Amino acid sequence: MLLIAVVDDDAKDAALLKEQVENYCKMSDHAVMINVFHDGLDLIRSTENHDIVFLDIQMGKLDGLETARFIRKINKDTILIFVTNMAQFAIKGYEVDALDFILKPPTMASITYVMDKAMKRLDGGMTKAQFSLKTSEGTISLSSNEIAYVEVFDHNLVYHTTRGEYTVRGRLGDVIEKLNPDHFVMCNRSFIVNLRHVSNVKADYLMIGDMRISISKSHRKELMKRFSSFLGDSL
Amino acid sequence: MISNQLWVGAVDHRISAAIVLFVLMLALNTGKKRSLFFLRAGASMAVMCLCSWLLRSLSDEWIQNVYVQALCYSAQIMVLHLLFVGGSFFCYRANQAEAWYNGLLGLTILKIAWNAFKTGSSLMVINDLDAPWGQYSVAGSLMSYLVYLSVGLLLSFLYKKLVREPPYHAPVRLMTMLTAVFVPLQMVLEFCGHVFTADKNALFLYYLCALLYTVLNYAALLMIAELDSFRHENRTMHDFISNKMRYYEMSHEGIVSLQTKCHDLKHQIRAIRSEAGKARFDEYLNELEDSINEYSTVIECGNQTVDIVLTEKNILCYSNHVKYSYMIDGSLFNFLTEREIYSLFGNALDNALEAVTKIEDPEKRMITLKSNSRGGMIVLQVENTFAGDVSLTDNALPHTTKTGSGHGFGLRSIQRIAEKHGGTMTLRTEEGVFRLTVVMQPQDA
Repeated sequence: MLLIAVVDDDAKDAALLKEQVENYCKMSDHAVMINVFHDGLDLIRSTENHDIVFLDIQMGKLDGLETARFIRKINKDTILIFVTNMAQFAIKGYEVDALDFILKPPTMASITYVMDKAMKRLDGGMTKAQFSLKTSEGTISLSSNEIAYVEVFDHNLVYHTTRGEYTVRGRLGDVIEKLNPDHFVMCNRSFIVNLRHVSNVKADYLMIGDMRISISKSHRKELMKRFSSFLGDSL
Repeated sequence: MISNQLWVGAVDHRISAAIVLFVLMLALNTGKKRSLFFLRAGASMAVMCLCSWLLRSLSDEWIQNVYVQALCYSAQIMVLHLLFVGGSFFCYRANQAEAWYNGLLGLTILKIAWNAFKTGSSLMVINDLDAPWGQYSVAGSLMSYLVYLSVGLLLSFLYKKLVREPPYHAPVRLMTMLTAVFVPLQMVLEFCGHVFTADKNALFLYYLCALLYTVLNYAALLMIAELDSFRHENRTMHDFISNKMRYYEMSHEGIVSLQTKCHDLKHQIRAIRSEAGKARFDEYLNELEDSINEYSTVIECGNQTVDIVLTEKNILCYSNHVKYSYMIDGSLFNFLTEREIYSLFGNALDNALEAVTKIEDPEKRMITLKSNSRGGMIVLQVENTFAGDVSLTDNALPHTTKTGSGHGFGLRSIQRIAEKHGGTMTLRTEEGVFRLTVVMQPQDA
């Protein structure tokens, strides 16, 4: 079930938007619950965790951008979509990592366009493959997002995760097949990295946290391709 | 212990190539050195020495037949050339065209030095002047090293001075063709030198001719590099001019749409002046305000050039009923030159505009522009809806049926800019949305 908020101080605009989003969800077979707020403050007070928030930029008490900043402090995953009647007001949307914005009046085509994107982003966030690792201390279950990189070390595999390091027997070739190719890439013969955790890519190495991992020449091209499409997807 | 004779006569053949290679490696310094450059250069030198030593020993000591020996010498030319190519690959992040070219250059410089020394020494032999220059004397050998070093240095620096940039834009095929001409010619020359020069005078003449030929060869190589950089410049200019042309076309459209707007405004003012207008003064004024909003938009995204491009396209999108949205931090792009920004944003948006205007339903015409930075990488993304099919070919440039001289420059110049700044351009289509992503890496300050 999707939880969507529409925030607009103009009741007519809010109703129109709500209706169109409902239409979209009906057509695409999504169960949805839409809350309408007439003020950014009301939304913040509601304390509900919305999946998607449509925010009017020009509002009385608390404008859309300010509201968005508040939301971001509480929830990093909420998808923000600005609604505005002038394009240049949304220019700062990147600051709060907004998905997109639509111009008033919203049309079915523009709603479909942004909602398609939003649904894709939501799906992407939800498919966190669960992994169970048989370590010497017992079996550990973790989501693939937690894996920063996997390294071959002394015929063992070392999983470097946000929770710590785990050493497991196995082959790198088998691991890469199980991982989502959009996020996991080999950067040399003995390292698989999670692009989500890569902070910097240079000519022949990349950084994950403080760890410097070299990129071999044969993997470089593929890695750059994947990394740029990963960055593109996450915009 | 190496005998005096061997040290003098044989060693110099064997390490001369390495000396030239070393000088060349230093002189070629294009700033694209690989890590551990000096180790790599040293290793290439060592391999060079070893190979020429082995080949020399093979041809000098084990082969008796003059013709076979001559064949062996000429084969050595090819091996040396390949080693030069390999060395320049190994030490520099060179592309294929560049490496082939460096190979030719190295070989040519080596042969010039060799022929120069030989011409000198054979002249001495003709005149029966004994000692220093004569073969197999210590002084002669030292002299030959001096000649290699100085000729190598001189020609390398001459190359650096005369050629602005190595021909890395040249097609690889051109370079392999040059190699296929120059290297066999050198081989034939070498072969003849060993077979047909029994007489002292003939020997001198042979070396003189060979020297002149190799100098010409060198000049030709320099000219080729220069021509290539001209061609490259020409191409960039072409890009630039076609951008300018588009810019004028767009300004023209902007002016036309402004004129239309002014015309409309006059009507609206007339309506306000009318009796009905006086009654609904506020309402009309609001309408008036709305209608000029689109033109009074001031885009301030943090980079003036980006602002200009966006404003321009804003007007164009408005007149074509395209929904155009941008969330962009222009200050991210401050590391690009104005021309690059113009080319990057202009081309990307023009392509998007061209695609969306083909959609019949204006409601479905949408363009989104976004930017972000992550981990020192800067990402620019342009998405647009499109109608029909776009097939992406292997080299990642979309395949369309458009023809005309200006076509194809857009994406290619985006790609060039991305690559120049250590990044890539990727294209993707998905459910009626075309997405162009450019990732770049600004140089570390």
